[in-house]
Amino acid sequence: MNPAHYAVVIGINRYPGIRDLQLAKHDAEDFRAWLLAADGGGLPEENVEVVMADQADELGFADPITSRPTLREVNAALIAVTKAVRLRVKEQRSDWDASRLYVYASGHGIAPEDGAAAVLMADADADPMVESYGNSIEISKYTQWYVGCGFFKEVVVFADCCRDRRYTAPGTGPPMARCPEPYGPTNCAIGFATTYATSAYEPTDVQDLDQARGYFTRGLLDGLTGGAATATGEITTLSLADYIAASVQAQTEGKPFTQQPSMPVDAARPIVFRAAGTPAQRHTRAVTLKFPADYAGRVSLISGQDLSETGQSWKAADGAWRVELEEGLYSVRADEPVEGGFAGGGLFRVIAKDADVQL
Amino acid sequence: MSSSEARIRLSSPGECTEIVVIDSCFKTVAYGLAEVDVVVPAGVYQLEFRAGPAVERKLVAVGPGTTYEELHIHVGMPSAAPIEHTSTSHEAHQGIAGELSRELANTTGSSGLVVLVRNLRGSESPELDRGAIAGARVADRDGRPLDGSEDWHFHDADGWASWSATLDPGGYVLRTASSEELAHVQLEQSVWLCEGWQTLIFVPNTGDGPTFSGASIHMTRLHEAWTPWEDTQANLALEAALWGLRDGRSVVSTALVELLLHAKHDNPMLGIVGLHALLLHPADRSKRVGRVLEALEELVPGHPDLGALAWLAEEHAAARVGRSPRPTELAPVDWPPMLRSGYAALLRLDALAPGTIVDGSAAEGIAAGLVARGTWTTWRAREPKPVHFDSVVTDRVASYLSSIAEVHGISRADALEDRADPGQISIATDLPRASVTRALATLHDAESFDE
Repeated sequence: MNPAHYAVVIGINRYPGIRDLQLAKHDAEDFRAWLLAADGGGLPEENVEVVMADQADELGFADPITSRPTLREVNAALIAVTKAVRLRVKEQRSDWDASRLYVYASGHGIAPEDGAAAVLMADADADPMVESYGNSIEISKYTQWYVGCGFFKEVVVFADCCRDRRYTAPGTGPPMARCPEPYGPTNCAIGFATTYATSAYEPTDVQDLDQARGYFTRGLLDGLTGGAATATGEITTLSLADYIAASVQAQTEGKPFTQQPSMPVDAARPIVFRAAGTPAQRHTRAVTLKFPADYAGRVSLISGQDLSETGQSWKAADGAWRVELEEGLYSVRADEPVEGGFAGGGLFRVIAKDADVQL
Repeated sequence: MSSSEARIRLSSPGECTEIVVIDSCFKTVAYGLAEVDVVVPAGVYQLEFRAGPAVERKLVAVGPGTTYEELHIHVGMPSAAPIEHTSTSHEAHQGIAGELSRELANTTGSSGLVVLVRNLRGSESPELDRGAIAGARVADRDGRPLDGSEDWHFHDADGWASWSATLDPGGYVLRTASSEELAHVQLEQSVWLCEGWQTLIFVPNTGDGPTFSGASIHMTRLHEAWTPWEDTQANLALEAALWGLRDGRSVVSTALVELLLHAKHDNPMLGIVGLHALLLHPADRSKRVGRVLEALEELVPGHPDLGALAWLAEEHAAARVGRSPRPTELAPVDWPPMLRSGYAALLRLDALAPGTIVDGSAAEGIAAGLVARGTWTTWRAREPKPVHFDSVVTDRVASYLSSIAEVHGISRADALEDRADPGQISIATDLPRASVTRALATLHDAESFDE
C-alpha cells in the first residue's frame, strides 16, 4: 500500500462543443483500477479523486455551457488531494518522502498559445463564433505550481490528449496562491500522448468498446502492468517512457497518422513504479508466423534477449505457425536453406498487439 | 568485450542524425547524435535513426564476439535553411542566400537581415504565392512597414523569393499573413538584429504558402558572408535542435555542447537555440549553460533572448534542488525574445520581479495577443487594425479571478478585494505584471464586476 500517494483521474467522452470521444472514460477507469490495485499503484481508494460525468448525466448534456466535468471540478479535486497530503505531512514529516501525486487525464486537448498542453473540459466550445478552448488545464502551469510549492515529493502526470495548436487559446494556471518557497524538491515527470503540435488518437475500428483503449493509455497500462519491467522487474519512468514509445509506434504503424509520445525523463532521478525484485511478468501476444511458399523446412525460434534457443520449433510444411510469445524481439532460424532468405532477416517484434509476421 | 558480448558501431558522419539502440525489452541501451559505439549482450536490437521528422527503423541480430557496423547512415533531414547534407537543400537557394549575404557583408551598415522563402527539394514545389509573400513585410518596432519592405525579388523557375537590407540593430517585426486558422488577421514575429551581425530567416514554401512557423534562423558576422557549405556540422546541429524544439524535445548531445562552446563565434543563434534545447531536458546542465551564456553575452550583448535564457537556467536549477528561483538582476527588457519559450520565461520573471518587462513597451503589449505558431514569438499585428489587447487582458484576469472565487466559495468582488495577488495572476495568465496591475485597477473601477 502507498498511503501517501494521491491521484486525480479525469476522463471526458462527451464534448457537445467539439466531438464526442469513445474511449476516454474507459481509459480513465482503467488507470484508476491500476492505481487501486495492490500490485499496481497501491493507493487507498480514498486517496483517488475521480473527475468524470456519469453516462446517464452525459446523455443530458445538450450544449457546452451545461456540460461537465468542468475546470472547477478538477481544481476542487486537486485541492482536495493537496490538502490531504499537507495534513498528512503536518502530522508526520517523514511521510513527505513517500508522497506522490498522479494526475491522469484523457480527453480532448490542445497546445495553447502559451503552454505545452491543455486538457479541455467538457464545456470547451470549438464553434468559431465562440471558441472557448480556454476552459482547460494547462499542464505545464499546473506542474510548475506543484514544483513551486513542493507539497509532493513526486508528481507524475499522464495526459492522453491531443496537442494541436490553437492559436489564440490561452492556457491558464491553477487558481491557488503561489508558495514563497517549496516545501521540498519535487521530482516531476510528464507523459504526453504525443509530441507538441500534433494529435493523439483512439482507434476508430473498435469492435469491443470494453477492450479498446487510446493508444497512449494502452501503452501506459501495458507498461505499468509488466511490459516496462527491466530484467530485475523494476518499472521506472525511464523504462516506462521507452516502452510506451515502442508500444504506441507499433499500435499506429500502418495507420494514416502515426503518433509519437513524449515523456522526457531525468535519468539521474527516475520515479519508481515497481521496485526491483518483483518477478517480471511480460505480456504475451498471439503471433502468427507465415512462411514463404517455397519453404517447407523446419524453423527454430530464437530469443532476442541473448540469441538462445527458446526450444520452440515448427515445420513450415504444416502451414502458418501460431504461437503465444512474450513481448520482445525475436529471430527465426531456418534449419534448411531459404531461397532469398526470410523477410527482415527472420527478425520480428512483438509488442502491444497480436502480430502477423510474414517471413 | 567478453565472449558473450557484441559491439554495435553506428555513425552518420557529418550529419546530426539521432541514433538509438533499443534492446529486446524495448529499453534504450544507447543514444547518440551522429554516432554510437556500444558493447551489448548478444541479441536482437532495434535501431532507430531520426533526423528531424524523418525516422528509419530496423532490427538487427548481433552474435557473441561480433561487431555490427553501419558507418554511413544517412537519413535526410529536411531543413528550411538550404544547408549541405539536408534532404531539402537546393544549389540555387544556397547560391542566392550566399549572394545576398555577401551583398550585406560588403555594405557599411551595422546589421543586416535576409529573408528567403523557398521551395524545398523533394516536396511538391508549389508556386510562389506572390500575394502572401509580398504581404510579408519587415516593420519597425511599432509595426510600421519599412520603406521598401514590399520589394521582394522572385525567381519562379528556381522557386525562391527574397528580401534583404542593412538595418540598424534592434527590434523589428516580420509581419505576415495568417494561416487559415486566423483568417484575415495579420501576425507579427519578433526579430532582433545585433550590431555586427547578419540574421538570415529561411522560410519553407508549402502548399499553404510561405510557412513562417517553420522558419529556420541563422546568423553570421556582418562582414562575413553566410556559406551553407561551410560550418556544416554547426548548421546541422542548429537545425536538429530546432526540430527538437518544435517537437518539445531536447536534441543535444555532449558533442553538440562542445560545438556550442566553440561555434558560437560564428552563429550565435546556434548558442541561443542550443541552450533552449539543453534546458528542455530535466538533467542538470547548469555548468554548460553558464559558460555558453557568458560567451553569448560577449558576442551579442543586449539580445533579449539572453536574459530569458538566464532565467530559464535559474528556474531549471531551482527546481532540481527544491527552492524557489531567485529573480536575477536583469536589464529591463523592452523587446520580446525571438523564441517563444524565452518570452514565456521572461513573463514568469516579470511576475516575480516587476519591471523586468518595461511597462508600455512592445514586450509588455504583445502578451495578450500571443499566437501559438511554432518556436518563434508571434502575436496578432498591432497595425493596421489595432487589437484592443487591454480588453483581452482585463477579460483574462477577470476569468482567472472567477476561478479563484469558485475555489474559495466567495464572490468575484471578494476575490478581487482579498485574493488578487498580481504576481500569482501574472504567472497563471502569462501576462506581464504591469498589464495585470492595470487590469485589476480597471476591474476595481468597473461597477458590475460581481455580475
